Amino acid sequence: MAVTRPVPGRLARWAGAAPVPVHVAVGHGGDPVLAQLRADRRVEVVATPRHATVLVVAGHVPEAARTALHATHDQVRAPRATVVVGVEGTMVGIPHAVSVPRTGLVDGLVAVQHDLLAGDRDDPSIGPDDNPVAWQGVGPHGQGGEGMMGGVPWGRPMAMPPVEGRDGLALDRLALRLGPFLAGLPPLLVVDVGLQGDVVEEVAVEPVPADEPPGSMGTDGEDRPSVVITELVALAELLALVGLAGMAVRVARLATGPVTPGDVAGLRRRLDRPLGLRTATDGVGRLDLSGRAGDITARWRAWLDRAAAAAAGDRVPPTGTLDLDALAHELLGMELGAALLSLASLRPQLAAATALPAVAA
Amino acid sequence: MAQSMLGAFLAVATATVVAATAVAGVALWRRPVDPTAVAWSATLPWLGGHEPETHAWNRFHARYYPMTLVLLAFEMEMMFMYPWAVVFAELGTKALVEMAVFLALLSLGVVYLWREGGLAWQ
Repeated sequence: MAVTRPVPGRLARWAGAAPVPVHVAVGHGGDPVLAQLRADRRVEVVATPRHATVLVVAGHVPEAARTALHATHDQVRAPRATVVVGVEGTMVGIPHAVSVPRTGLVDGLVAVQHDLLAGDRDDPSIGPDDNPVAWQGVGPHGQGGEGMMGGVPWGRPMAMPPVEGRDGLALDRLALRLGPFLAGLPPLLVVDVGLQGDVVEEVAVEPVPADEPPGSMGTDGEDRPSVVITELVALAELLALVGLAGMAVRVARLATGPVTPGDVAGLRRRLDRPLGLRTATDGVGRLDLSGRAGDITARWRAWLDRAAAAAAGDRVPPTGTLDLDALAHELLGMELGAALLSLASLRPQLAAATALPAVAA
Repeated sequence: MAQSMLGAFLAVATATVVAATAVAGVALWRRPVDPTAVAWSATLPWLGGHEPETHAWNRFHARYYPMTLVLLAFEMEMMFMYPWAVVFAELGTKALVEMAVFLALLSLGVVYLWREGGLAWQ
């Protein structure tokens, strides 16, 4: 284990008092951990591993997502640490990870931050340190090829369209493979998008295949998260995605404690206010899926209905799953931001879809 | 004379020392901020766990382009028409022809903008 220079005393005390910047890789059943971290003042849940010093692996990460998890691990800035919740690090292929029980999670994170500041800890990279594909340009510094846009830099072709558009004003089609640990997206969902500018021209939504039958997942042998937690975590993540971070923390705090129908009603009033969540989501992400049409506002209102019913002790029907091909078709033509918000607004359904075991072909 | 030369020498010497210190400082402090000092895998764009498939160098739509065209076609046109109006009576036909040519060129931009849908009210 590489050990770094310690941060001098007083500076380390100040830095240690700051919230631990944490990136959460959410697996199956990781929602309660995510809510717990978002709710705690001593932790700051950040959107990318570059902003984090600690990577937290929450829930079960299937075998098929290990490579992506390791890539995420390697992108956390040094000195860094990895914390797994309720399991051993070897179970996610990160043997040097610190295993922390869920009850002492935040204390564990603070202790890890102190270790990092003291220079006692720094995780090595898992992947190779060198680019496996060399630059293949023709210039003296490896640049270029045919004209300005030639070459295959670092093994990645230029984002060039196959045919020139009219007036020669061709726009490049950028292909992105988002997920499975992108903050704000439903957990373990991979979205392949082809973009012209910021307009989604081609899209495929696919879950990472599960390698365990649903029901045996969860952390610390817990059952599936309750309806209230599922819906409120989805809401917190949506709020964080639209930039209402303070409101996201408030919702996460609600999700971690006992919830009354009155709490949910109060929350609904806040979100319905001018400049509340409604302002950001009204009319955005209109989808027509299996007969239920509506925008993102309609979907988060449905979450609140379900959470209120569950808090009142009523039986709430299970979240249905989705036809992912129909969903992908509906996302075509949206701007990327609206498409990602739409996916975030389907978090409970998509989480249910990704939890299904892979169908043998 | 000698004193002013000494002053100039001191100024040059001071500038040299400051520059050399700055360069040496940057060279010494380069390591903590050097992007090549981190692992290759940490320099990739963050997409959620997958590597990008295409290079980041690509042409994208400049959304402000129609706005720029509208500005050039209407605002800049007026900017040139005010001084033109001042000297119009003096120069007569010559000024009229010159402005007609200028407006004809600009109107090509307006026609293009119209074809692109830039004048449609949305």
